[in-house]
Formats: sequence, C-alpha cells, structure tokens
Amino acid sequence: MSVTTGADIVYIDVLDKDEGMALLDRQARQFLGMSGEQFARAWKEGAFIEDADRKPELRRLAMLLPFAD
Amino acid sequence: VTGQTQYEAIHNFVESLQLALSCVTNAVLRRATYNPRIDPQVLILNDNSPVLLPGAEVALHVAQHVRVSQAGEPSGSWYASSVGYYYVLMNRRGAEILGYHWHPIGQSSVTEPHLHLGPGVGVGNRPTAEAHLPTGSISLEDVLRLAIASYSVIPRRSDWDSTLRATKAAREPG
Repeated sequence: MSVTTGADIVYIDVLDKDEGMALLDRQARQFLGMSGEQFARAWKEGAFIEDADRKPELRRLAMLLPFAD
Repeated sequence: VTGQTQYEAIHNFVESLQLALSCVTNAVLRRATYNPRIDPQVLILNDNSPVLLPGAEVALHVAQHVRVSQAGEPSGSWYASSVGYYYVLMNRRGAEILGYHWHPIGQSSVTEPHLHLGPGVGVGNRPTAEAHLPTGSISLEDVLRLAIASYSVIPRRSDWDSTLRATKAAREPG
C-alpha cells in the first residue's frame, strides 16, 4: 500500500468490496455502536432521515454505503 | 474525464484528484477496485478520516462518488464524472467548519449541492445552523484553494496554483 505522495508522482491505493465493507463496519461500530450491515439496513429503512444532515458521522458513513449494496 | 476503457476513465479521474490533494497533504486516496457491483464508485481520503492540513488548525475530510458511463464522442470511449461528494473542513477538535455536500442519491430531501455551516463556525441560530445553503457544484480544488487562501493552510507544492487549475480543468466536461 502506498502511503505518501511525492511532488509529481501520484500513488493511488485500492480497496475491494470486502475491504470497503470492513471499513464501513469498523466506523459504524466506532461512531454508532452498530455493525456496518445494521447501519446499511437502518439507513435503507429511513431510520436516519431526520438526523442525516445534523450528525456528520452519519453522512460520512453513508458515503461508504455502495460497498454494502 | 475520459478514457479508452472504464478502468482508464476512473483512473484518470482519481489521478487528477490525488494530484490536487498533493498540494496540501501527503495523504492518499483509496478507490474501490473497479467492480460493477460497487455503484457508484467510492473514493475516500485517509480511510474516510480527516487529515490535518499543514500550517493550519484545520483538517480536511474527502469522500467522493464517481460513475463511469459511455461517452458519446469519441465513439467507444468512457467518461468518469462526479455523482456525489463530501468535502469538509473541520477544526482540530473535529468540529465541522464548512461542509460541502452533494448526495443526489439517497433519502435526503436535499439533492442539490449545498453547504452546511458547522458547529466549528459557532453558528448558534438554529435555522442557519441546519440550513442547506445552495452552492452549485463545488470542485475539490475550490475547497483546497479556499483552505489555502482563507484558513492559512501552507501549500506543499510551489506550483499549487497551476496544479489546482489544471486538475480542475481536467475533470470539467469537455
């Protein structure tokens, strides 16, 4: 995994669907105390509609939802 | 951003974003492996966590959604475009200052690009603190330039101005 950028050389790192889902899971547990799957299900059911724009962590997690589809 | 293949289009898109980011941070973008089951494509900076910017008391959080589609011309080429973003400047304690959001897909009633004035601004007035202030589409370069010009962020590259111009232009529709 590349972790730095030089002045002109650009490194880009990649994560697969499982790694993306693992990241969602880790951050959902950190911010909300629930699993990534639980967050994805609750989001689809509309559980966070009222809070999504008030709580930055929800929008931040939502950006990872394509990994859960 | 175009490419001869889907992979090339997304790669060129990500490369321009990473080059822009190199003006203010050595943190690395991660993108999803190209997989039709991941739609839209997801790009995240620093594992979806804020990055403290040099010389300043602000941190940057970047997440981006991208979709690749067949371009009309030239025939057979592919086009990668932004279909959502989350560009946030926050203070050292993690409180949002400015949150540029665009989430056209999902459950929010606000599907146009907008700005949130976060708790880090100290806006106590509830309608304003929760308002979705319309912005039009914002590029990552716009936010990086703002960070340098108004939040005392020290650029890492002497050619930051021309780099930001070039990378922004590279992703603008032909």
